[in-house]
Amino acid sequence: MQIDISRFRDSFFVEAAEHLENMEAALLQLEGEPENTETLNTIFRAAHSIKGASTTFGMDEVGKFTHVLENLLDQLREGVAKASDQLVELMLTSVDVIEGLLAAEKENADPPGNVDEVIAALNEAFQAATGGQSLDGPSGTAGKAVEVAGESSGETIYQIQLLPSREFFCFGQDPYLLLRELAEMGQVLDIQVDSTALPPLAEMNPEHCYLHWTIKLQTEATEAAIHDVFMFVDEATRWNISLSTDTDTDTPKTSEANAAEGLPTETETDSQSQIDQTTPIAENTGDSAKAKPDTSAKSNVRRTISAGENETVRVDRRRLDELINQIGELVIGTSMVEQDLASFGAGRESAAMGQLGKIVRDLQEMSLSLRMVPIAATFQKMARVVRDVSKKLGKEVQFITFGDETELDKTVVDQIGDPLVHMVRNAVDHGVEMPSDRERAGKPTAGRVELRAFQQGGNIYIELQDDGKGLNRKTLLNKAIEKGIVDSSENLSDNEICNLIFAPGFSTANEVTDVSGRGVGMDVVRRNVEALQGSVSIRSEEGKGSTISVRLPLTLAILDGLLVRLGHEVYIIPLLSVVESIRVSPDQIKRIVGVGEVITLRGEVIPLLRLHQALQRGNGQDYEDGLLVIVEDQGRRMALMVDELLGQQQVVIKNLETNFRKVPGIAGATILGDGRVALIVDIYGVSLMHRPPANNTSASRECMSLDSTISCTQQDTAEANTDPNSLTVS
Amino acid sequence: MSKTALVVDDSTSMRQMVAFTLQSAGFEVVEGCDGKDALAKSQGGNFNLVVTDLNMPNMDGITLIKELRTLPAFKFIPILMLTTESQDEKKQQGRAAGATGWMTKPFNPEQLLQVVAKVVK
Repeated sequence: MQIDISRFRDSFFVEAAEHLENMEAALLQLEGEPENTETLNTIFRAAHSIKGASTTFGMDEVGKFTHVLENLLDQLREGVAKASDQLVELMLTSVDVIEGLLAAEKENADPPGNVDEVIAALNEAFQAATGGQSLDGPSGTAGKAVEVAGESSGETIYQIQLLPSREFFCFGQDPYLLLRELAEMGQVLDIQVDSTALPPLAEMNPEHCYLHWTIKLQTEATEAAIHDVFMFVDEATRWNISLSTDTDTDTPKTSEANAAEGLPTETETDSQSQIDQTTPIAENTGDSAKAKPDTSAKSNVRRTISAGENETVRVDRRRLDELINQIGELVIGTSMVEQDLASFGAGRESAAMGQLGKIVRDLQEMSLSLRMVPIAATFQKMARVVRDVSKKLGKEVQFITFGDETELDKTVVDQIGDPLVHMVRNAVDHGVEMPSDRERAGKPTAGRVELRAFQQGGNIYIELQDDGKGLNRKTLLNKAIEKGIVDSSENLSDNEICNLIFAPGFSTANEVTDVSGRGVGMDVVRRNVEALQGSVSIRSEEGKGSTISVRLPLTLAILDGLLVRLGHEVYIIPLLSVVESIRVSPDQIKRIVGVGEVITLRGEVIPLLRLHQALQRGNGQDYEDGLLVIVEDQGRRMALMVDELLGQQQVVIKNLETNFRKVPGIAGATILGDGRVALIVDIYGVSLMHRPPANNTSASRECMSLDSTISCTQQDTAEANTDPNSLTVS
Repeated sequence: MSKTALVVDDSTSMRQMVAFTLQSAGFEVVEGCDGKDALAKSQGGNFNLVVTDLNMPNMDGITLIKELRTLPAFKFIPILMLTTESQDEKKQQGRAAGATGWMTKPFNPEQLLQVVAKVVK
């Protein structure tokens, strides 16, 4: 029977990733307390588990590497070697190597280039620990199978004597099984039982074995193969094998049981050739029908007790997404039915419909929660980043996390990692000062970097705070002017200056370091965060430190939206961005050269955007009848002119990009209850459309921040109105 | 009557692999994620075979074997331990604790079934 075990590979990858995470966390912990045996055991166990499973699943490279690492860990565990900083460093590198090797296996990619180098370093460390004792080479061979075959020299008759120990049964042994196995090897010519050791009934212990057997076996098998039959018997059990030919007086050989390790085998561990990574674990049919759910697993995370106690089920990601998607369709379907029902006339909305609607919404909420995962693992990776970067720069940094248990959509968690790494690197590299500088500034020599996550409303906030030198407004501004990002005549608020670091092409580092790269990081951070429908901003106080705040939506699957009408079409404005909606009289709308239209709301000048123009839709009504929806994006307000407000609704977000293409100003689409498609407005994207051409930047800034400039530019309004498209220039 | 096996390993993939193999050979399988879990699940059950890893959190395989052997229902049940080639010492400890046999990792399903056939009637 050939059993395909490749289906368990996916499961192994997930598990190995968890082990590596645990290893990394434990290694970082070890750095502070190098003699903590429990921590060492955790690391050892993780390495050991990866080794065992990887070799079983045919990933010999991973097995080989982990074996070498395990040898070293064993020395640490035994107390022979001490977990010096260099060793921890080496082991952290090893974690990276294993990660790389696994990725190589998973994606059929090239293994990391430094494998041999790290193996050599590990071996060296091992030898240093054991005082030059040479290391038994990594055994990459699949099992030490015992040679069974041998030269077949025809049939031989053996006389086999079995003398079980008294406690034979207590090892789960059974003489019957041994005799049966022997019988299967050939032909039993004679079998005799020796009952002389049997005590009188009254003294007999029924749990003991008192009988001995002698078997004459005619077989083609070699003597070694016969010895193999007894490989598992307990140490007190004896057996003799001799050639039974009357002339041959071979002396019986008594053997120790553990002569052989491993098993006679003819089949190769090669089922990996049928790797099918796209097959989810439980999708294979066959025996899985009668199989118990084999995906149940207790979480391997042992850092928190609560996590360890949670019984979890692993589910293939695509299935989960499909489920959430389908439930989204169900929500749409339900509201279609609801509308149909309503169209039959008032009073037809039955209680049952209301009940169904509620169940469907609950179901949707629950399905979304399935994809929520704590951010702890991501935070933990940052601990490593802080460590590596601070080491490299010779800085002391204390890293603290709060709100590790905060849950986010898995999609968001997966994509926030890279931006966070950039942020954390920057905080340590550019934020935290060198110990000597800190001392001079009267601060503790060790910098403090704090990473927090918390939920507020429909958003998750991730904040990174450092107590470093903060941002120097002057340097920032000069640099921004130098790079042509802003004009020297602009009058920027403190906050605006700080947030310049997120502008494309901006770099705060005086020199390019290999830690923070070329300083394009923060720009990338902003783009990544925005791709997740989030936003990022920074607060900073010079000399005291900075706080970067990332706002992320709880989920990317649904959205609370404000339905608005533009002509005959319905658009959706994310409710989270909506501040208020107002109706204005025409004379409240001013036009400013190079800026476009603005309104003054309670003394604040707000740019106005006619949504139908921005999205290049015709036939918007006159603004006299128009309504303004005031939206806010990263602290910037903007008024969107729409024709009518239709209501508020939770909508299921459909990706427009994958189904059509990217449309400027549009974040996605959804299907309404009546089956119509509605586009979701991308507030940030739309706000860019209001941005005037670069050479007019100064004018816009002045008008936006200074009330006094409005009056003097009002006369331009009528003239400028002749060119309605000027608004859409971006 | 089908036979029941208790499969204990903290590695999910290994446990699934062993469980699946045994199921394909007609076993009912109860899974334990460590010694402690397995010991809890062994209570009241009627088992014909135990397959356990040695290196596990909470309770390791050696302790599990010792504990199981004190239970009347497990006194004579074959217990297989999963070892690696570097664990010779562990294997001796396991045998002393009452293990019936062992499997050296890596192994494939066929090898596992061969060993199981050796110790289960």
